[in-house]
Amino acid sequence: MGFVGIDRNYKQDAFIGLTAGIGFVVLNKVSAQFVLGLPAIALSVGQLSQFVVTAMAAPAFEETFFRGVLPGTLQSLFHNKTWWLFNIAQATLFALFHYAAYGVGFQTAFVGAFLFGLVAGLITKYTNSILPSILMHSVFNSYLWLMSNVSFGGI
Amino acid sequence: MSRKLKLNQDTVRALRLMIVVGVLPTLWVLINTNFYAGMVYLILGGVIVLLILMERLGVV
Repeated sequence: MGFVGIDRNYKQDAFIGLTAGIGFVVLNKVSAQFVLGLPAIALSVGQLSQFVVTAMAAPAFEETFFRGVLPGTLQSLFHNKTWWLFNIAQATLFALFHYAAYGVGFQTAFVGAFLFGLVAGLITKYTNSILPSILMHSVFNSYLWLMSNVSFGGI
Repeated sequence: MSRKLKLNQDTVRALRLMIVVGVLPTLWVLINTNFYAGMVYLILGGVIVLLILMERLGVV
């Protein structure tokens, strides 16, 4: 088993992550079902704090855990080499985390977060790095934060 | 023991990034405010470190 970290192909991985993040933004435009629950932070803490948590801390912690260490631990615990089973397992736990910790609706968690988890797991496997999924998560969360916090004057 | 706990470079890079863009900003926000999500992340960070240590020590 092994944990996935960040390998030396920063530039290529960053490009893949940013592109995939933009892809999820487009998907959200196509269907509003594709959202991730944002961290439950009171509006009173201020927009900068909200942004720091939403666009930086959440992706860093969640991706390191769900894509970095969890699949390797599951693989080791269950002595099974079928990768896609672990990908479904980590995506399910990722969706449950969004349901339980952020208090989002069941449908939001098991449509948006589950699909996001599957794609992030796939990208992590093929790049052997969690950097793309961190950036993908960060781009998508930044967009969702922007949509819920900033008024665009009718746009 | 220390040789067993040695982490590979990829993991070290990931943990370094997690500390810089995750732990430090969360602590900053927690100090300035008080919110539930910050605690969730610190617990998640603790679990990550625990799992890595368990793997290095051969527990899992």
